[in-house]
Amino acid sequence: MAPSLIRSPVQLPPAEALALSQQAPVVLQTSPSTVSSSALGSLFSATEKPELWIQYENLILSCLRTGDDRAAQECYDRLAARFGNNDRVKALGGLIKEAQAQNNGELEKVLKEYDQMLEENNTNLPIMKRRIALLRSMGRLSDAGSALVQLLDFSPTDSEAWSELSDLYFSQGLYPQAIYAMEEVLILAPNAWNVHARLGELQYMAATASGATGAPYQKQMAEAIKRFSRSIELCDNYLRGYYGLKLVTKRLLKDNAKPAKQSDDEDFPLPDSNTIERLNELATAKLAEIVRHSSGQDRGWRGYDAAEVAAARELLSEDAPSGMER
Amino acid sequence: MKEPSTWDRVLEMRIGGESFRLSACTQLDRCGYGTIGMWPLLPWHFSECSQPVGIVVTRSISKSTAKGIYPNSSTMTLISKSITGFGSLLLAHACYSAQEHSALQSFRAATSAALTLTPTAATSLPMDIAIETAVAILVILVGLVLGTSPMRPIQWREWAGKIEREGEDGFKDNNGQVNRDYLGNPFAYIEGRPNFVDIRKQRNEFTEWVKGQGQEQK
Repeated sequence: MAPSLIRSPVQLPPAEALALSQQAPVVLQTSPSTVSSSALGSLFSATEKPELWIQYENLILSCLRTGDDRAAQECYDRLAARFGNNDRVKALGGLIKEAQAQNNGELEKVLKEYDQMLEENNTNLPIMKRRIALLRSMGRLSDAGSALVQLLDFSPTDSEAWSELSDLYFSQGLYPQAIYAMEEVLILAPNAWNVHARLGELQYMAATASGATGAPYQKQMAEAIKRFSRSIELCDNYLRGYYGLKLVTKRLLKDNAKPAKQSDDEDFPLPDSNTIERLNELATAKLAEIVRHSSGQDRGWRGYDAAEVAAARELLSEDAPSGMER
Repeated sequence: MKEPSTWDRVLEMRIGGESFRLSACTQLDRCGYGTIGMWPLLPWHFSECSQPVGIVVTRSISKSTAKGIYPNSSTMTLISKSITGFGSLLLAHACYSAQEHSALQSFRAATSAALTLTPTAATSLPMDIAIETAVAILVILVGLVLGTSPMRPIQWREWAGKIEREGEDGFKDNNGQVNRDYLGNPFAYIEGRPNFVDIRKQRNEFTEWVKGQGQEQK
């Protein structure tokens, strides 16, 4: 079954994006081609639903991805006919131009258009975000970073932008900065279980990237345990949280040969090996349960991503080479 | 998780000289709080009360019994509808009986008045009609209650876990349709970042995937 058109299609795997964009002709045919924006006109013409516009936006994204430019243009035209010179619609128009650009020159032209629009209003968020994304796509990472910092200067409560900044730093290997930006996201959305898990992953990667096993390593591993545990606390049976917890505790148990140095200035010291052992057992048990139910397609366990379940199965089989797989 | 972050509706009321404050978040479903046509009266909505006034009613069904009670959503609606229909039939029958009874009574009163000139006061309904009415209403109630969709989880972790574990399956109504306000993980956009999407990269990845698919088929 194709996923819902109401939800953002950005993170979907290619097969589902294809299924979505194949819905485009049906959606375009069944929904009215023009919706009047005047109060009087709306009495006579078809009624409009807010979902329709979200559907069009999402269709543009998935159609551009699958190369169905005509359907994307049609969706864009309808949005433009309804909302006119809206910033958000303009950003979508820019997106279509970006997707259709053949070479660097055309991309530069799109970038120049963005710059012109920003000259009129330099706090135009949708255009600003597109400009940053385009800069990043063209490989001008430092420009994208400074533009992003500028955006966050005038709009510091934009969690999406903080997350982008974190990802940008992460792609350059700047772990402390990436963690800092992710923590800012957490301040804005303290209940987001996926952000907690993401922060845990960043901290785990930061700890293991350098290869050192000193005090900063242990501090970051402790933080990672804390973040993964919090994500599990916020969400029952969270596969990603348990996966991370298992990864961290397994690693800690492996290099536990040397005693953990306890420095007093840390606000969250590494738990003792007994606790780590128990956390590891808990995560293993939970992961095994999730993998078992999910691969059996049991009722009520079908929400997990197949790739994530496969990764969890791999992690579990690494753990038990004697073949405990069911 | 204690309370939704945005309280955008606040109602102040005064009962017996004491002021109560009712707050509610209008995006309740997004926060994971189910409503059935009224504001949920949860304990923390009365944070400023000196004495509790709210009644919290939760219906929790363990997983195994839930399977027993709700074998299948479509048969469920059928059972609920037939029970409700049966109850309505009973109620209609009771109404008809009552009407007939009163017609008979008035006819009898008229004839007896003409004959004896002494009015007889027999206005109360017979017991069986009253019982039938009460039973009919109870049956209708049972049918309607069986027909309601299962309650949504109130606790944040349960609700979040349900999204992750069951996905769309967990948010279907009795007709098997996914609830319209179901959005999946509401924080997914923070990681997905739809406004920063690198469309050219996605396009290239997609063409690569299509090529891969084509090679697999050959």
